[in-house]
Amino acid sequence: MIKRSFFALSRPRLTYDLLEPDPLEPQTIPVPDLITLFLTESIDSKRPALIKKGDPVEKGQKLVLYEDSTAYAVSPVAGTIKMIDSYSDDFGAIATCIIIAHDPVRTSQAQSMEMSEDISFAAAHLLKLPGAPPFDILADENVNITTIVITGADTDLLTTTSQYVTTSHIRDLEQGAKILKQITNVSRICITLPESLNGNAPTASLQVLQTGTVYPDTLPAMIMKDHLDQILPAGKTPEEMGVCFIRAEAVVSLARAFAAKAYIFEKHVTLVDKNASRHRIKAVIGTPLSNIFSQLDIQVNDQDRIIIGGPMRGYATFTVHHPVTPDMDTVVVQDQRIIPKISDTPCVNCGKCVQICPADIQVNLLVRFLETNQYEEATDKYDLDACIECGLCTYVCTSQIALGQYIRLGKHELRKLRADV
Amino acid sequence: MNPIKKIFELLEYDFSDAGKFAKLGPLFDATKTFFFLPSPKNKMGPFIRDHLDLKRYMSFVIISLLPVLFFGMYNTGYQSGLARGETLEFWASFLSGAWVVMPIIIVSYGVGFFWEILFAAIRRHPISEGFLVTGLLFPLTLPPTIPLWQVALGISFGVVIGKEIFGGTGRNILNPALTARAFVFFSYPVTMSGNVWVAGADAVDGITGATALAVNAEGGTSLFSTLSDQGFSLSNLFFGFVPGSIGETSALCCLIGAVFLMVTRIGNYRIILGGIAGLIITAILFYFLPGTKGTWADAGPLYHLCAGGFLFGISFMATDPVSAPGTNPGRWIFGFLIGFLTVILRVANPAFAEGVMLAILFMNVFAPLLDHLVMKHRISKRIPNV
Repeated sequence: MIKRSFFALSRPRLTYDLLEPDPLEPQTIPVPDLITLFLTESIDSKRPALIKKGDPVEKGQKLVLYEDSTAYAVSPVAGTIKMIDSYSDDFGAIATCIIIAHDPVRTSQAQSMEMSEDISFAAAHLLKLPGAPPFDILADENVNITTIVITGADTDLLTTTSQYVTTSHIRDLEQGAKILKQITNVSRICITLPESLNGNAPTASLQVLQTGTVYPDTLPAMIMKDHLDQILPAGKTPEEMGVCFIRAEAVVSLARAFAAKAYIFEKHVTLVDKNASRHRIKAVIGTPLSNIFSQLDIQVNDQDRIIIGGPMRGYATFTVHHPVTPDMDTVVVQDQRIIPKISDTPCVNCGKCVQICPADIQVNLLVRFLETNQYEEATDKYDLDACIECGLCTYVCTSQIALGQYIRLGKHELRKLRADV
Repeated sequence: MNPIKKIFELLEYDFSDAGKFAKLGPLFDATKTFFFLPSPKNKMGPFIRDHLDLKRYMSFVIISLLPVLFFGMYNTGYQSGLARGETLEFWASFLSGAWVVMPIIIVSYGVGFFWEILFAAIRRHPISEGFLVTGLLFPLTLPPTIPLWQVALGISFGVVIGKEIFGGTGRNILNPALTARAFVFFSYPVTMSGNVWVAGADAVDGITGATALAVNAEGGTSLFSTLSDQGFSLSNLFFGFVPGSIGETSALCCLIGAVFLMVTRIGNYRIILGGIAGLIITAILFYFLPGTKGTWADAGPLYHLCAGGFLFGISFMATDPVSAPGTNPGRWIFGFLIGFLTVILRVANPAFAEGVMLAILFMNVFAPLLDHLVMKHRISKRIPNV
């Protein structure tokens, strides 16, 4: 997949994949019989649920579990609810999945929506647009956003989803940016684009930030440092510093939803198969990955790995029935034979992680504290908070320690600790 | 199919969990991955990895040691030839030297791997690649005259006490090869002191000679002339045609290894350069001290650099990342203090003519403290990240 010469003397340079000059149209995956939707709320059997098994749903209907829930899903098809069940995510947090049996006979027209150019409307209805626009953060009165950055450059390796959507829907993107400006009242809207796509840049009112081709140039913290002259302090999110990042696809979906006065459900995904060849597909949100694999003739066997969200920053899912979600840009299928090794060798202090870390963290010292669950100390003295989770330390680790995983777990545990206090 | 691969596939079952030799599984794994790239497996992200793993990393150190090793073999033969009063030609020197050196290396690897396998089998972890380096470094720090049973004892101490009781490669506080050498040095001072030179003892008995660092000029003559009288001219010391431990005599070969390590970034250049700077500055300071004529305080930086095992130690021992500090400022200080202590020990304490071993071990102990201080300084200044 990504290889580097054994004899390379300097530190490795991982480069982003750039959009091919004449990009192919995405392959459309037909709407499957069963649709799976995720809700970030756990089932509470004591409360009266608003939806239950057997309920009919309309295309574009907002699905909410309880009276006062804020989490919602939007059904991309008309049909009936077949099952509501618990689902545990990456860190074991319990969420809900709703499975809907698609009824192709019923009208395929989505419910018409009255679009209002208002941020609270967007947060209440448009969060699940393809591209997962962060309207909930933009609507939050405690967060003062001064700059919105549209990510037209992909943030992980191997994928070209954002670049493709940006260049192929340039009118929609400009329109979407206008709507975004109106509903948020944020005056400064920028777009990141790789240099090679500069000719396709939207001209109107958008400031273009040219990104480099070397990973991790397009990660939010690096964009802020290189282009916005703002250094992200340790432990802060870009939003707390007044910068909100939004996918290009979300902006495009916003424009299309406003134009059609109806919900949009088709998500662009870059799928990298076992031979490292890339497929560009368009699938309805909620389509299980297994449907996509069978459509593309990809055999997934026992112990192969399905990675959602790119090789550096993604996470692996345990089931081929994982659905397409609004924020899923990339799916990588790794054959069991090429999955890299993990070892129980302790850190030998070789210093490669320190050399490559863009946040200048002493990863070799940090990992000793993470290994022994001393998360407070790791944050206070060894900059755990400063990590931007690019994954490069894990990529270069001589002892092949799962550094990135330790750091993610450490941050997760720390959030739990702080929430308890 | 590759015949070696075939053998491994034939044997694979016997060493698997269900096979007869399940306990020796780690040995099988280590041998297999020595020949072939490790078979990959992983569970967590990021989902791609660089190809440089610990075994390849350690192999680079072995490559960097080859000039020192081959020169050491040649010089051993050459010096024992000189001791017998004959000047051997190149191949004759090399072969007779190899005849002396190879058994030491074989014993070191054999006994060391026995302990490694024992611990790996009991603890059920794969054999750690760190020993590939330790097992070669240790013999290179020994005089060729050392009895083989002392080699076996030394490497056992180094591997077990120096490394395994702390938890194996990556967790040791001291450099295991130096721990082994220190053990032999203090336990058997007669064979280690460098006052005996009887390599190829079956050929010639009782020929003795001192190493350069044990030389002191008497009666007001300068140290340099006394040294060159005994064959320790600066050029001899630099190229290494002097008696001494197997690997440490040639400053040139050590420098070749050091440059290789620095270029491949296996060894940290901060430690090596810091160490050389520390040695030179301290040596100059002592040079200007009055009343030291004829002793090693008067030697000046060049002699201090080329004589003894300083370059060997700073290139191959001090750069051992496990026992060195992990922060860059810490590495500069670590290296500098090794150079400083080496000169201090050589000058101030004639009982331990070779200061570099103790200097490195001493600084190994202080490496975590250096890291701690550097991090404290960083936090106090709150240097911004990203």
